[in-house]
Amino acid sequence: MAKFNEHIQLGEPVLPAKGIEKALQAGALKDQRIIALLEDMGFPGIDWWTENMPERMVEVGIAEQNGAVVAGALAAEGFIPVLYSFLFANVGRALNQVRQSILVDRFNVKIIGREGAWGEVGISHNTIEGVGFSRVLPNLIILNPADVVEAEKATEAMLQYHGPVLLRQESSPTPVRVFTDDYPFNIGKAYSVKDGTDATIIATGYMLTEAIAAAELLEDEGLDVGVLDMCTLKPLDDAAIIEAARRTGAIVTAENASIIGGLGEGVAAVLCENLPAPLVRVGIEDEFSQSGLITPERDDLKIHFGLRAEDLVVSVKVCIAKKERSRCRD
Amino acid sequence: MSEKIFCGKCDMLLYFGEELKRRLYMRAIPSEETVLGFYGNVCPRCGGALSEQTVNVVVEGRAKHGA
Ligand SMILES: [Zn+2]
Repeated sequence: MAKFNEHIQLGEPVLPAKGIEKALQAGALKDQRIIALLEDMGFPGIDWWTENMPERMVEVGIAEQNGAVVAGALAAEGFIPVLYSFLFANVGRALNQVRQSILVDRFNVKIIGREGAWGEVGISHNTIEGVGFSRVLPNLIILNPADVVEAEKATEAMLQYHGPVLLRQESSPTPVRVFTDDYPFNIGKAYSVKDGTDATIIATGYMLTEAIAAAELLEDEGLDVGVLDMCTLKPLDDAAIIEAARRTGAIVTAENASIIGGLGEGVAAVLCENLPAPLVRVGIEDEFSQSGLITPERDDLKIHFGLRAEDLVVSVKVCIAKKERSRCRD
Repeated sequence: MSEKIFCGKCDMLLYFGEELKRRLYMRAIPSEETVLGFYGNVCPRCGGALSEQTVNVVVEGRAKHGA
């Protein structure tokens, strides 16, 4: 059994949406300025909202460009709008409006965007590019929680912070519960789930579940692999990435998203500019996501895109081999 | 270039974004004082008083190399 750090207690799979709902409701009860802004996609815990605060719900319909402008306008008047939809829609489709009407003036708008390669919703709705096209935008914080506890704490922190935040609600298999209730979440800070010496897997979102399983499989093979949870995708925790490279000399990134523009590329930039180290990026290559069948025994897309713990195990071994080759050259 | 403002007591990130003084015109936020004012000059996490003396301001990017 792998030795995990403080605030880690592995449990059963629980939907992160439960944590988001809980924090939004607690936030709305505490702060009258919070407004639910819907784009024909419902809202986390919508029944509670319609029952308890229907006057604080605005439905703009399938008109995401308008949604971003309405959000900016509400924030300019002192409200805290929470804009909810698919990430390809509320940021992707409305990219220019998010830039012009929210970010240029750094309005206090919260965006929750659903995204990830999972299930049978098709090539149009199963998108994986959102982190890439959002990370380029100045003034925007991007969070991608890994389990139900982190989802609740990240949502709470998002509401507490004054400024624009994008919270990516992953469409993925249900992640296991990883963190204890007293886990000290901090925007911009990575959390070391497990220390290691041979390599570090830097994981975000659902892939933390697979990364932990991979570290346990690797331990059975005599390899001591660290796991670093990177919930904040912007700003990245540069210091934690550099420290992981210094300690283990081999980095594998893991994301249920495109490896272009996302965690993998962000980590690559930090390493190249500070402490170059062998890197393998696990995620979805330069291709579109698509539909995949899910049964209790089988998840087609996870297999197709190589996002299982077994795939990470192979990538970690490849990365350690790269490290050893580069040492031989020295 | 980006700027971060942290609570000096609990390290909460209070601001992340463009360096406040970097924009030549139409600044979104005029000063660090404005940011602290968004929080009523009290850290929402630890309750500590926020002033320019009690926060840590970090500017990152090319300017540190001379630009
Ligand atoms: Zn504080």
